[in-house]
Order: sequence, then C-alpha cells, then structure tokens
Amino acid sequence: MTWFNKKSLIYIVILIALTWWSMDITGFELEKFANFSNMISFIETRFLPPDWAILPLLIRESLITLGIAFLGTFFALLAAIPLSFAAANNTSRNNFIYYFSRFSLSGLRSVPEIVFGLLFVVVIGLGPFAAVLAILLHNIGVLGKLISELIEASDRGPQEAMKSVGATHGIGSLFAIIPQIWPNVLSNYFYRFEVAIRTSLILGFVGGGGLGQQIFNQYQSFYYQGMAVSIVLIMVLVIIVDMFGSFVRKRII
Amino acid sequence: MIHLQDITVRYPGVPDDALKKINLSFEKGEFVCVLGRSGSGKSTFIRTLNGLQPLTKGTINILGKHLQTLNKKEQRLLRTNIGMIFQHFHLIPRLTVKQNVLTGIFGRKKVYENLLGIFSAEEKKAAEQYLQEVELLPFANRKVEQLSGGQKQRVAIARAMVQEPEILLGDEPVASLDPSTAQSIFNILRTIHDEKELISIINVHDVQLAKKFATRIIGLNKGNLVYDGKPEEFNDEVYERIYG
Repeated sequence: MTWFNKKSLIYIVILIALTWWSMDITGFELEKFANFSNMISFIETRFLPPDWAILPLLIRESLITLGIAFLGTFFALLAAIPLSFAAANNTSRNNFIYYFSRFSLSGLRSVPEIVFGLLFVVVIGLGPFAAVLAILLHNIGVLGKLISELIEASDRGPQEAMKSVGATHGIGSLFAIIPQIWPNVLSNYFYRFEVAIRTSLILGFVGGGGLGQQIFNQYQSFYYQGMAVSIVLIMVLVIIVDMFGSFVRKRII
Repeated sequence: MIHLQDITVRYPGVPDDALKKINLSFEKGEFVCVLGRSGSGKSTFIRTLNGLQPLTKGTINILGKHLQTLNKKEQRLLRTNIGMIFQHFHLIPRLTVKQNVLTGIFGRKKVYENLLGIFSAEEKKAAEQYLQEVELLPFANRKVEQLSGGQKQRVAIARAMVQEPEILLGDEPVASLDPSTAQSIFNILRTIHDEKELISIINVHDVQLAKKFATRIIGLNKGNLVYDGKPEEFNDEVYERIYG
C-alpha cells in the first residue's frame, strides 16, 4: 500500500458510496443493457437509410444554427472582455466593482440557456433571435469567469512596465494582459462556440429555430429518417467548428 | 533634482523596514550604481523613486515635485519623465520590437490614440532612432519573443529612452544576462546617459561593473545606507560593509 495512506482510502470509500447512492437514486440498472440489441435494431429499421431529400432544407436550418451560435458567443465575448477585467482582482478598480462584477457573472452563469430561452420565447416571440439572446447572456457569465481567471494568472511584469511609462490603468492593463492571454481566450471562445451549437439545438426544442427545431418536429412526427440527416449535420457542424478553432489557435500561437 | 529625506518603506505584515531613513540627493549627470545583497532593499529603493512602491515615511522630491503629494494622474505624468528598465525586461508579448518601443510614449498620448495605435511620423522616427542606437533597427518588425535576452533588454532600453526621460532607473537590468552581454548593456546605458545628461540610478550585483561605469556608488545593507561614495574609493572595507 505504498501509494495509499489512510486519508486516500477514506476518499475511495466516500467515492464508492457516492457512486452507489447516485446509481440507486437515478435507477441506473445494468440489467437494462440486456435490451441493447433492441435499440440497435430500432435505429437500423427506423433511422436508416437517412432521407437525403431534405438535405437542402436542413442545410439552411444548419446555417441558422451556426448563426445563432456565432452571434450569441461573439457578442458574449465582446461583453465578457471588459467585464472580466472588472472581475479580476489584479485589474479591478475597487472592491465594489470587483465583487459586483463577479456576482453578476455568477448570476448570468447560473441560469441555464434553456431557462433564458423559455423566457425570451415568451417575451420576444418564437425564432432564432430568442436563442441568440439566451446563448449570449449565459456565455457572458461563462466567458467572463474564464477570462477573468486568465487575467489573474497573467504575468504582472508588463503591467508594471506600462505603469512605469505613465500609461493609464486601463491602457496599461489592456496592452499588458490581452496579448498574453489571447490564445487562451480564443481557445475558450471556440470551445464555447462549439457548446453553443449543441445548445442552440436544445433551444430549437422550445421554439428557438434552426436545426434543433427541425429535429424536434421530426421527432414529434416520427420522421426518424429525416432525424438521421439532422444528426449527421450536427456532427459535421461541430467537427468544422473544432477544426476551424484549431486552425486559428495554431495561427495565433 | 532628486532629494530623498528620511525615506522608510515597510511592507504589510513584515516586522522590519525594507528601507530605513535613507537621505540622499542626486544631480543631473550622475550615473549611480546601487549595490547590496539580495533582500538589502535595492529593488524597493528603485521602485520607490518612481512611485511604484509607496513610502511609509519620509519625503521624495523628484524633478521639483513632492511625490507623496501628487494624485494618481500627476504621478502618472511624472513617470513619463522617468524611464525604467527591469531585470526580466517586461516587454509586451506578441507585439513587434518597434511596437514595444512605441509603448514607451503611452503616458503622453490620448487613450484613443493608444488604442488605435496612432503615432506621429516624429514619434515613429524617434522609436527607429533609439532602435538604431541599441543596434536593433533591422529587428524592428520582429516579434519580441524571437529575440535573445540581451536583445530584449536593448528593446527595453529603447522603450525607456523614447520617453525622452530626465531620469533613468534600472532594477537589476543585467542580472539575467551573461557577463559579456551585461557589459554591452552597461556600455549602451552609459553612452545614452552621457548623451542625454540623465540622472541614472541602476541596481546591480556585479561590483566590477559598478566600479567601471558608475560615477557614484551607493551601498545598501538590510535597508540601511552603508556607503555613498566614488567608485575609486570603493575598497575591501566598503565591500564588507555592504556584503558582510
């Protein structure tokens, strides 16, 4: 037991107990996997072959999904950058601004997109705009927190150099920090963009438009062969965004 | 042009003073090297001179202004007259050599000009002139990450000089460099110092460098001023006083 002391054994016991309790409360039963072959045959008979005839319509809807994800996360990034400077302890002007910004970001982050989506669908009506706003607000909270942590971890030397040349606090912080954290900001942005594509699908279920709404309609009308095409398109979208993100990161780094 | 009276600095939570009642004056044309062991208060001393480190007690009169009576904006404007170079260069990553030099005049420009990178032809010419002086003009459009340590320090010197300062401060500018590069950096500093008739105050670990280049040497030991004299008067007894 060279690698384990008493404390680590206690942690293992706690982890096993937590796993057992969670399986019990969620009805997690391995016996249900006995019917796994039924699921495979269901997919084979109902989903295949995909109905490629609806591809042109779904491509249009995919572009709407892409637009929702891009606009929501891009505007979120624009709002999150200044907020994250206010929410980082090494750049915030004072304690009030620091705690207020952190509290605001936590608040936005704690409300899931689906809740914002339900709210905006009621307030501004069905369609992609509601989905954009839902993704925008939640991602301000997420990106704001991630970027503020990058700011706090940045090298303070360039900030001190900017202070010593007489630059203003804002200009000094901006020029000394943004170049340092930019690759990680982009990395986080592209990850959130990818997540936003999947989220916009869920928002489509509550009337947010795009590919998600098509999937919901296909599901409700048992049009599984159309759903198969939608699923392929989702995978293609996520892979393209991931590849594009990697390409941009490589160019920047 | 710089008068320090009873300056004392104590860091929060530390029982001992980092600087203890230092009284000094510096005049135009002096090239001062500050010697002392690590933790003797050298960095605190340099950082105190441009307000990066607040005083606990005492007064600093610098370029005719009482540092501790200035508000933040006035301190900022005062710093535009004080060039500073650091041990680890503190350049802005991802910017080119020339862009880094131009950040030296951020303190004199409007916020929108800094944001948009609006610099006059004279300002760009001045940046190029100082890059020429530190022999880095051919590297003007390179990213600073591609430079060696010595080259980075020369960029930092050009950044400080483009401020057209009256005072040049150096916080151990050659501590991360090999002896030959350190010598060449001191050559550059001394040449610029003589051309511009600056007050230069530089922290350094190498006694030989200080004796070779300084017009005056100051020794600190545990926050106390233990030597203030000419390099030619620096002997073994003084060495013991500073490093003993």
